[in-house]
Amino acid sequence: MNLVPFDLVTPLLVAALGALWSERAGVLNIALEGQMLAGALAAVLTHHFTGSLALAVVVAPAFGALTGLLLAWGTLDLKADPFIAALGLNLLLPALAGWVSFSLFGNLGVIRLSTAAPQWFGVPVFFVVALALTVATQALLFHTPWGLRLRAAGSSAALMASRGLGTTGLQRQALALSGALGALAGAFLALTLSAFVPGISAGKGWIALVALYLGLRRPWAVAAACLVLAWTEQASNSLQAFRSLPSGVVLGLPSLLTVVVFVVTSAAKKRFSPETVRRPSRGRNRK
Amino acid sequence: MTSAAGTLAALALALLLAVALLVVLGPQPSGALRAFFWGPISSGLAWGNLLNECLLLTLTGLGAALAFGAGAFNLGGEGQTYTGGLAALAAAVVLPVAWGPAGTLVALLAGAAAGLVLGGLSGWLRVRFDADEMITTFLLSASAVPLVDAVITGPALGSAQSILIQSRPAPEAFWLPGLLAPSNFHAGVLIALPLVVVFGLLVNHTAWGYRLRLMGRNRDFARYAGISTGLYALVPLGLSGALHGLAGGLGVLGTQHALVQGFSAGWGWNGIAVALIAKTNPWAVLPAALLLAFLDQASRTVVLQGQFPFQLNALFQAAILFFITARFVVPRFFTGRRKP
Repeated sequence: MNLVPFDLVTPLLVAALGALWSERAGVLNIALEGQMLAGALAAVLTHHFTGSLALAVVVAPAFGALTGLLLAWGTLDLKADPFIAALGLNLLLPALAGWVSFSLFGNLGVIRLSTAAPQWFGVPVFFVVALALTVATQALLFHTPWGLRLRAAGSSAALMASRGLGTTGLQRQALALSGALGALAGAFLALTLSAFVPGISAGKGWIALVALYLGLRRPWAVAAACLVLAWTEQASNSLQAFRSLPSGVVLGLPSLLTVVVFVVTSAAKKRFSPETVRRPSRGRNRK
Repeated sequence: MTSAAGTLAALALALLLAVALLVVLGPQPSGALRAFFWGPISSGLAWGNLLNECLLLTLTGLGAALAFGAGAFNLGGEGQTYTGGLAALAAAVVLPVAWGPAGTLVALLAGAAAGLVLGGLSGWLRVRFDADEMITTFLLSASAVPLVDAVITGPALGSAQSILIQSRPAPEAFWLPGLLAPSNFHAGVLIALPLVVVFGLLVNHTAWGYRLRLMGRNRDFARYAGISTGLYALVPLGLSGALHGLAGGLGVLGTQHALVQGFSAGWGWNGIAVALIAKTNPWAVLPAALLLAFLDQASRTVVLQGQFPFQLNALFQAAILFFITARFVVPRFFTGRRKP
């Protein structure tokens, strides 16, 4: 058992930071799952055709930001329901990935790369980047005027309006950033694996949302939550060593553990937080 | 612009996207378009398969509509359908063959019960622990699917000769009688259609349905009006799960006669698209399901006839979901009215 399972934590943390940016701006991005997959493919294709790792981790988030802007266009401009539109994106991106993979390689299978994820004194560079992104998120969101406005757009739109400030632009920026981080998470996932596999995101985009709630929407606590979730995943992976356990049990375990953890935190939040601090029912009161 | 026009706009956009792709990417545009629009209705067999899919989507769509209409997001339709299929198969295997049609009914009820438990669990978690059902339904479904897979490939595995990975067949005595042979259509339609009527009446013409819709429109107001918001969050999710489970049961006893690995893939998401096209109104679920079934069969036909390299279904679902709740603004030029 590794104390810090770097390869499991890194993509989860980066995606959870993406979820954090969108959630703080009041437009929770549930398209992360699809964006991770798209980012993974974008990174692998970039590396396949250029051979450059650096370019791969730039192109992926750039494409992710575009998908974030697409979601922003749907929800902010066309006023579509943010959840439904994001579900649409979650279906669209794997379909597009399948199409691209099919037209370039003639199959829907695995695309292999001959690269190894770079290490830095035995620590994967991607993990260091994820930590740096956590620091940057904390700094930008809580210690700059822009971050304050962005959080206000999420928590008190009426206050923003009374100050004559619009929320749409900020929310659009948050969704673009969220998409970029989601795709970067996918890029890290694929580049660490040195391959693109259909369905590579495997629910991680959803588990990132759980990390967000588990971490009470604060960057460092979210990072800690990602570590806990990575431990559960590692535990269920090592359970696979026991031959007596059917594979289905092992494959279903991460989601099951996640839902248990999620319910426990929800229950704790319900018990310990005053009524006024509870999350608004976002989108439930649909017009 | 009215909401009905918005729905039409979303569907038109999705269709336009498909036609554009067929023309640009198909090896032979005219053949691709003909296969797409004519294929699903070109023969009795095609009609039967179309109606079979419509029947199943009616049930999952009805389930999704019921939950959405009450303001509860059920994103676990895939797992609820799959689990329902397993429960129905298990019941069919255990029950004595002499039961005949009664056994079929019991097996279908077992499927519905499995879905009810899975959906109701999320509802209960919502009421008891305030755990967001959007996340719990999805995650519970995601953990159920590999478990069902494990049963199919483990204790219930059928003969190795089949191309598909599937369980042993259900006893023939419990199969639903087929209609329009040799297509997949079957007598399950005699269960699905009455259910549409029952829920149409319940939701639109009873006090219970009124409260349910009130919950969907505004949960805070419903609470203010004295509605037990807990009960009205639990019941729709449970019923939604039950309808998905029933669809899974019909898929096993009516369509495949065995549990095929991954057979329900896409039913849950398509059901959500049906519910949204129908604006969560049970009466509108039937035409919406027919439409989506047509699109699905059309994109299958195009691939089968070699007119197109890959399935368009996912693109359809995606485009429809993305645009269906959007409010399209008609440029002022067309309406001739000033902006307010």
